[in-house]
Amino acid sequence: MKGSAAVLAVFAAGILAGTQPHLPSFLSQPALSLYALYLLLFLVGVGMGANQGAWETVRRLNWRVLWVPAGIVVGTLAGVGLFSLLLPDMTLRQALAVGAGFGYYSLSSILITQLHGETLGVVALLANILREIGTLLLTPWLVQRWGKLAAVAAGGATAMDTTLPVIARYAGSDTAIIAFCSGVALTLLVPFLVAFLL
Amino acid sequence: MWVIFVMLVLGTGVGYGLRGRRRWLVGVEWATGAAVFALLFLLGVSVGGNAQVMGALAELGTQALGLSLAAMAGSIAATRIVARLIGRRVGL
Repeated sequence: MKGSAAVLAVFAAGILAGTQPHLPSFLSQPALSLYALYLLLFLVGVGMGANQGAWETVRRLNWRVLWVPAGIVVGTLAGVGLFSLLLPDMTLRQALAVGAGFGYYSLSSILITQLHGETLGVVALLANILREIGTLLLTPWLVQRWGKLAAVAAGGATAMDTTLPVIARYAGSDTAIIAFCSGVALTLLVPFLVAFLL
Repeated sequence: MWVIFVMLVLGTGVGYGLRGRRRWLVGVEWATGAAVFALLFLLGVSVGGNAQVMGALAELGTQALGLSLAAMAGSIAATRIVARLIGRRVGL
């Protein structure tokens, strides 16, 4: 929760700076964001490649566990796809791209901003932060009412790090292992799926 | 768009090579966080300077809330089917 608050604070500080008339011009250069994005993607790749524990956990597990993230992908896209019918100014493709962040708000919102524009980038940032915050707040209820996998499903990509502790606490350590694997699989998928959808 | 994949794959290769090098990886983690904050700040700057987006911020937030709830509800429904199909075999 502290992390999402910090992200929103930085984003709000940016908005405030953006409304100032005497802004240093380099800050609004599109090329700056683009090169920072390339750097971020490279660093995300380094983090994935170096994460030995994650790869080993996935390898040790029964491959059937991958049905869980597969279900989350299908369910998420179906959910946002249906919801987009209620939004007259959003196309199916745009809604699917927002959903394909699976809660990984930093990378998905930045990618969507670059590939599509800042309006959809803002929606992606808020929707995916809300997915993380929603999971943190609702996990006790979700587990009780809808079963252990519901917390893993709600968490999406965040189930490997930020929402993992709360999932472990309320759904148990067996589910936490599944949550971790599912989160890793979804995290790996996010950049590819978002870029493919837009 | 291909640059996205190239950067990711290049990074993964470098990350594989850096396995076990703690100090490097701590630096990478720090730099990732810094890049995320810098990019979100820049996204904020371009939003703040765009009167059209600023005027629609409340509406965009409502859309985001709806999409977020729809995403969670859809994935919970789908994993209930998954749990029925494979539940016992993965120990659920």
